Amino acid sequence: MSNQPLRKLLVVDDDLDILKIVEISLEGMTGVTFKYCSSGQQAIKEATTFHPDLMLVDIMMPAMDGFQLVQAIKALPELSNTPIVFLTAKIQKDEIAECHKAGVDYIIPKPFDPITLPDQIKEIWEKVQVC
Amino acid sequence: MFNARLEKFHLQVVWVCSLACILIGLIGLIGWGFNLPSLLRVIPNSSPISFNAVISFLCSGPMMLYLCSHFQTTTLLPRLFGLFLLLYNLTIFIQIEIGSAFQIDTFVAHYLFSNPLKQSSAIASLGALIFTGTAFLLLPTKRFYKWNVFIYLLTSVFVILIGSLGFLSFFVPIQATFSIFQKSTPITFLAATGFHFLGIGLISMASYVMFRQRLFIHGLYPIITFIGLFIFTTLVTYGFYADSVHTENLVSRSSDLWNRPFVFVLEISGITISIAAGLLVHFIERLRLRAEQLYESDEKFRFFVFATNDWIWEIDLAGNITFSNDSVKAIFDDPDFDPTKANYFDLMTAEEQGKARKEFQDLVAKRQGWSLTKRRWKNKTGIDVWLESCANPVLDSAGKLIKYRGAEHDITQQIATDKLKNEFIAMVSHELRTPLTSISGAIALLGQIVDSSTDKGKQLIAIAKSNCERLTHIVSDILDIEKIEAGKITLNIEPINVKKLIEEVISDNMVYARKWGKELVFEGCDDELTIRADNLRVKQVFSNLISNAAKFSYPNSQITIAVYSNHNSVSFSVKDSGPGIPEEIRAHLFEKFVRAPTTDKSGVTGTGLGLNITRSYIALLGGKISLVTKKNVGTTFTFDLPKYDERSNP
Repeated sequence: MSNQPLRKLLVVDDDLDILKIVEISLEGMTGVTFKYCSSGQQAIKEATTFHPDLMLVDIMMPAMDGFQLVQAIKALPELSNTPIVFLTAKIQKDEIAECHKAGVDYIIPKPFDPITLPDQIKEIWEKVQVC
Repeated sequence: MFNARLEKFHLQVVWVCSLACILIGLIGLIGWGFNLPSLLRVIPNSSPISFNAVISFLCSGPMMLYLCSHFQTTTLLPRLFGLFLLLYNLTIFIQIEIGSAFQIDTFVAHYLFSNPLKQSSAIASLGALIFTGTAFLLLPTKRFYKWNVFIYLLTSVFVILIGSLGFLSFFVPIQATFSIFQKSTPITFLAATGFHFLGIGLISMASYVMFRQRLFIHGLYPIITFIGLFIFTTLVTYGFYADSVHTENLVSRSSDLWNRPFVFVLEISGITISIAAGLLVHFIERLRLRAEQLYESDEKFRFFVFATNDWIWEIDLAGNITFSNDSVKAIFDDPDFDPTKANYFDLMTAEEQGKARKEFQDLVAKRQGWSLTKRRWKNKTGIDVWLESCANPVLDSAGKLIKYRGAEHDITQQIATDKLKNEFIAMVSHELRTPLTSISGAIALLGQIVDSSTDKGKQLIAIAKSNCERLTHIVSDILDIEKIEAGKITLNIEPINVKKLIEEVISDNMVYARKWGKELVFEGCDDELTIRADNLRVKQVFSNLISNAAKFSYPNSQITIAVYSNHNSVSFSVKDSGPGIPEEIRAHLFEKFVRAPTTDKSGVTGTGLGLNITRSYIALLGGKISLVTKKNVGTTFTFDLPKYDERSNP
């Protein structure tokens, strides 16, 4: 994959406070368009039209959790290659293994540092590009 | 209530009678030995024959005492008394026979038969011999218990009869059949009283035994009693016969006896049978003891097997249940369930059966048992039941594996609780972290905004931020502790290069240490040094130790990490310069929630769980942690981890 800048980021979390904090912390990222969703269903709907470069997804959500969302996204042909990052409190060793099993290689543990969050996302984006 | 009181009364009677027997025996012995004239007038008047009676009573008394106090086991004491009586009578016999054969007036022969009263001696000593035999046998079974009591009662009545006649003859001259009493000296009085006490004591004993109802008699009892009675009769006959000879000179009379084969045969038979009876009694006593032990162990086995809630079973090699306790009915919720008609494996859930059968066949082939195997079973209502089982193979005398014996413990509840606990921990983990994420995120962003405003604002933000971090740590620590205690830590053991590890540790913890004004120093080590450990856990151990060192040392001091290579392990140490660990908490340092005061005024941080977790991790990794602390100098924590050996770990 050629080295493209990150243009579109979709953030999914059922907790509106966290969504707001992510929004504020990412304000400084220039050249990136953000979409914020508070449920899995909404995220699928949004993604099909928004076509994000990267998705930041919470795991524990009501109705449709992060794993189900990943599965649904991977099932959509036009979105199946979209890299997904879990933003989660599930950071026990076995839980991390579960994430890898679901095909998600990158995890930003909660609580995250909003100051360094943009850098972390950039770092992950660079790694994704290399792969 | 009545029974208990009566039982106590009977026991008291046995005690009093036994003591009286001993006392009478002692008085006789002293009187005989020292010829006491005034105080115990009856004794000096007696002939030396009383010695024999005295010894008998001396033995009967302690024997009875023993019986009433020690009803259950240890049998040395009555056996000793029985043996003594046997030897005593044997000695008399031998001396008489030697005396008669070689025409020697032996000591015992001289005294024993110097007076016509000898027959009371014969009766007394033989009586005592029988009591001893009876006493052996009286100690308990349920089967012949009635017989035992009956014969004991009969013997007692007999003894009382003799005593009563002796008593009577002392006052009223009795002719004919009981001529022996007519010729008695006052010593008869003593013997008669003694027999009285013996009889009363024996009757009380029989009653006591009846009340206790825990008798244990061997089937040979009637035979032994018959033999005892035979000896008794023989020697009494001998006594009567000897009395009827009216010869003052023992030696000549003995010679006379020698010439009368019938009496001699009787005598020899009596002695032989008494020896045989003694041996038989000894043998029976051993059998009885063993039967009692078996009975006790059987009772114990039944109690344990049927009192426990665990399912105890035996299965043959096809899995058919050959023995089971009743707990299985409760476990499978089926009161009518007959386990002996069931197959062990058929009771498991369908998916468990195949796997269990295969594993069982493998174990049978290897002749091995199993332990702590968790399996899913189905109860009558179709609900899953989790059982944890342990079993051992049972071999026959030829060493062939014939069956398995094992136990199942119901862990259904435990599994449910564990599941609930895990869910709870996961829930707490998420539920606490989510608001923490918002709070810490908001504080961090607020910090940027407030950055340019007042110092007070910055201080408040810093306080909020550090406490947020603290809370995050607490949540992590609690989750770690839970995992360790539940034994759910999975380790990823791999070879780790020590130098690289320490460099990473320093870069990971540098920021934290600097925040506390401390510098991390690494003394360096061999580039090739490698350990076997879990990278993540070792780093966590270092982080805990470094964070402690940073918090509890002097400002602007150094924290030194050193590495030493041993034969099979590598030692790591984290050393600080500080006030040291106060003595009062040193012993409890690795326990949960133990904290030392910090060195600055910012107060204590941390949960007091760090060192507990550290120690647990090191133990899991196969190492040990220790510390050296010196007041106002500092503390050094040292732990070792197994060295990676390429030969043993290819």
